[in-house]
Amino acid sequence: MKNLLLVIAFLVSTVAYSQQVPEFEGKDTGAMVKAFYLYHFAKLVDWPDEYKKGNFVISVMGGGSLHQELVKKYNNKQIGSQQIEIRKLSKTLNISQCHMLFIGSEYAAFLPQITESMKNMPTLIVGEAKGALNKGVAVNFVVEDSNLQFELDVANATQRNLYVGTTLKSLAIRVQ
Amino acid sequence: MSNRPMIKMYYISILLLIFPLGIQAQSIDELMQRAYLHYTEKQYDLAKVDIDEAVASRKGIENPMAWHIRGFVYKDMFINKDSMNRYSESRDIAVQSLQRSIFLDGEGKFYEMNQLALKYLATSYWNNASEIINSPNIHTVGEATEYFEKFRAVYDQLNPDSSFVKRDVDFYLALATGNRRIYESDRSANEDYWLQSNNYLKKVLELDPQNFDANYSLGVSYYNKGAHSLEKLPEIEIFDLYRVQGESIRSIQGALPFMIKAYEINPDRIEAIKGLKWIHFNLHQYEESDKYNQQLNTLEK
Repeated sequence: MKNLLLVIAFLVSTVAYSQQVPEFEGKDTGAMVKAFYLYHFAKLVDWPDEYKKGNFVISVMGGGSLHQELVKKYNNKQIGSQQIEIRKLSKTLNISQCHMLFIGSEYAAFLPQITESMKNMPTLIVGEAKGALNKGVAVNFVVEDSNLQFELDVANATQRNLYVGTTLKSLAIRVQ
Repeated sequence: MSNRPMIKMYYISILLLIFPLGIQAQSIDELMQRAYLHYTEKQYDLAKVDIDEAVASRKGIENPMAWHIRGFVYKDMFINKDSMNRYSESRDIAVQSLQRSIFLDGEGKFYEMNQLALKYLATSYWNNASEIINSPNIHTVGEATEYFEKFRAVYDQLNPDSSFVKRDVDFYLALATGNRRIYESDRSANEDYWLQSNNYLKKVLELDPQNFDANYSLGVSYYNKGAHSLEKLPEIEIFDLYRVQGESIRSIQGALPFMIKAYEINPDRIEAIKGLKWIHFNLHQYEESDKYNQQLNTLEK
């Protein structure tokens, strides 16, 4: 009894530690890097004068969360004096005028038709499929050593009256 | 109120122990008697003067009762005057005094009371560590370990045979959480706390390699760091991309072994499957990512 009472006299409650596992931030880092590249392609390629007014239009077909990433981080930026405008496209061959067109890997099978349908447009076409440069695409994303990089076909750009600067060429992993 | 008679009995027994010592060591006895009377009258400052003098003397330094009384005087000073002050010296002195009393007390006359008082003080160290971790900030989070070590030193002495692994694991997981919260409050300024958080999680794995939470948390930590580092992309120059992307990829690659281990420990935990899906996806390993995505869809149906 004595012991019990003495224990009561010494009782002090313990404060529990707060433990919490971190929250997983599921991000599409590939989309983040692609969005960054597209923005810089816009800065490092020269368009014909008639394309240097109005909004600078980037159209996106597929590519997971790339459209969302572009809107979130680059929608309020400018290319020269042109405001960037991001458009999301569903699968179509009837593509309206734009400065840059990204075609995701899920639409790779339609690349020849798309590039053909845009034959005379000064649009920088960007893909992410193996062999896309041979299907009329000017810039193609590739993964090398887990890093997302790009290869370049200068002729596919020049044919559309686009001038590719030396900086972009020097950054490409392959130029043809 | 109900425990007062018993405590009074204890006080009387202490007095009976003090008085017979009088012939051989009069001055120490007098000092102990005076200190004890001051103590019972809650005049702690007066009690402190006498008992400090007693334990400083040649005979007092070897006297378990003197150290026992000193421990209680300082413990009650802490409780009554200093309990909100985690830097209280009174508490540390109380602990040292009670430990010395136990060391000198071959017959174990004071063991039970010394032990109870030490448990009380140890718990107060534990609580200080908890309070710091539960409201972490840059200036104090490092002190949590200090209080936990003080708690552990006392508790180890009282329970030499008990295993501390579970308590250490809980503590390090909590410290990892606290440091991570500081990092997340300002990722660029507080990067050291990200490292510190991971170090505590790795300490958990040294103690318990099969710990799901530590493996999963390390996986998330490395993944989040890698993914988050790309948030700064819009502000960097294109020439810096390869460096930034490389750092991101290396961090995400670092996440993979921990997440795989978490998955192996518990393959039904949705968060580990989701983690593997995203890690593989961001390493451009799409087939692997799809495999976990399918498993996720099956489990979530």
